Amino acid sequence: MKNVDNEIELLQLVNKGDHSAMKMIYSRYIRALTALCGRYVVDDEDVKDVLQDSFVKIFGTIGSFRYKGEGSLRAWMSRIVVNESLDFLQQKGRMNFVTVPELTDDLVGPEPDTTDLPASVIFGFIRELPDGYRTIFNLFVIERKSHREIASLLNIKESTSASQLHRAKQLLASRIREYLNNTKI
Amino acid sequence: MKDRWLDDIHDKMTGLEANEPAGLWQRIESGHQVVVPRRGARLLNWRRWWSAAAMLALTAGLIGMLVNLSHDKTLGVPDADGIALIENGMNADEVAELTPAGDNMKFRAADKTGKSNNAGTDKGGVPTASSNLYQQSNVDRASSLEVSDSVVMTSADETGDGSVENTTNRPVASDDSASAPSEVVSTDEVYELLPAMGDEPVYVKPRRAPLSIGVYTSGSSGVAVGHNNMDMNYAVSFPPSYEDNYIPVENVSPQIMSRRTGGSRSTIKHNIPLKLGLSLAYNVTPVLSVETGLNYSRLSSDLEYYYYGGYIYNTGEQLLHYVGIPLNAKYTFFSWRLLSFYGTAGVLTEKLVSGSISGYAGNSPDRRKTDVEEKRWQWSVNAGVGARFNFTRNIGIYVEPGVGYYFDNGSAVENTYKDRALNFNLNVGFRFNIGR
Repeated sequence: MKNVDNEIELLQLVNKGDHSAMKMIYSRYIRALTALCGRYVVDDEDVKDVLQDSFVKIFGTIGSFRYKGEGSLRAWMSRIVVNESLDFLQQKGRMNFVTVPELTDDLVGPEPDTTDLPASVIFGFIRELPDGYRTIFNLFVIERKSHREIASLLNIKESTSASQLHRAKQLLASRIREYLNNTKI
Repeated sequence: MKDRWLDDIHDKMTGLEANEPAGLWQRIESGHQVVVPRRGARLLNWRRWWSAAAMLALTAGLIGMLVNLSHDKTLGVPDADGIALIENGMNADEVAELTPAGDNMKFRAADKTGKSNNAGTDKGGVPTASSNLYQQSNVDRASSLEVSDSVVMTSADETGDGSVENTTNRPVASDDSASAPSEVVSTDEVYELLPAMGDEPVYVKPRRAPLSIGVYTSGSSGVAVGHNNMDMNYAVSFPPSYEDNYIPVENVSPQIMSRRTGGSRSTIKHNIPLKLGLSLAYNVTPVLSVETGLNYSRLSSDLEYYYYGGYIYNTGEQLLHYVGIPLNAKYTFFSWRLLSFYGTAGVLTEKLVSGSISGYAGNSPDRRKTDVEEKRWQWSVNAGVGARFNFTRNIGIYVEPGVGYYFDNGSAVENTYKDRALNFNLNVGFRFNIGR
């Protein structure tokens, strides 16, 4: 409750243009948002650019944000960062999706065991994926969007989204297995 | 469980944090790519005053044209706001000579010379004419003797040199020796003539219509007076101590706010709004009326690299349709013949009933359309002055320049009201009196 009251108070101060309140919100969420952005954009300088644009937009539109409880502010900010990241990738022409024949969603081979796998390692593996695969994977697995929503968001076909996800899962699973095998040795 | 590994990845990635990029907050602080006025700062864009001046000049021209038209010497129909009460100014030496000939009333002014005056009265002292019955324009117009086909009749018993016969088609010569009239003027349905009471005609101000209906259109031009809402340029406001670090965006104009993202420019340019309306006015008093009605506004904006609803529109158009209800009070502070001038003030509330952004997004060759929604009402106040010219008793045209101020309703929808809180507008329309 204290955190909620504090966030509401911070938002009210930000709406009044309070600089220190902006800094507090920035400091509270920048690390999570950096990780989020880093899953979409791999170059560090690009991440900095996208985050800058994101915070400019966050502080610019925060007046229209309606606080709906704990976590709502972070979720709202995360959506902005995701959208800014997608903007960036589209403008850089890095969202070239190749339509492949319909494939099943089933993984080839056993599912990798990620129980003991550090989050930072998984993070690195995701960043290694090609842009298109990585984007679809992030949107489907992490953001929990459906293929229909992804297709609408990226202006692609649902089948393209599904095929891209399939490829992403194959590559990621393969990379994880390779890592686990190497670490066991 | 299938895809358990994906759920595990989801949980781990959701809670993951990474080191803050070095120097990021400083970049945000320094306003690396945009400059923003402080929230609540009042900026007057003097470059837009030219549009206001142009509209005022146009209004002055229209009013001048209307005034010029109303100076027509040919007497037309009475002004719906009423005309000057015609006083029956006959005195003992003057009398109106009337001959009802259809709707034509002829008046003959008495010769102002003593002789004709004397000659112009009958034994009973009934004057032969009254110059008081002439309007100023009549006097100007009737500077020469006019011959009329109508019967000119004097009082019943006339004797003396000033008597005039009951005759037709007889020119009435101006003659010092006679009571011939120096002016003959036709009024031709100018005034409402009540049934004569006794021997004296009585003219009264026409009764004011209780209701009037209007149709109008409006154009407006906005002036930037502030940027309370930061949506326009996604900007941040900072205390004055950071102003030194601001780097202004190149070629920023008040109408086009832009931001840079990775080398691309997102812009939204608002076009002049189009307004149409129906109004219904109730005349509380002869000079004060209350008006309401229905108002439609069409707001269009041109977009470039504009992000909305998950899409980046490379080029596109935003179209917003508002319907509103105005409530105004009008006070007539001056009226003259067919022309009247009034002041007006009121409030308008509007609702976005339909909105969309359409254009070309991403790499798709197909045109895309996204709906724009906003449930909040848009409130504004307005004030102005107006001039109305009546073609007939019940139909008039009016022009009404004014200003309107649009309150920030906190909406994220970007339109010209957000960018320009203060708007100059020019309403032009027709008004119809009913219930007379």
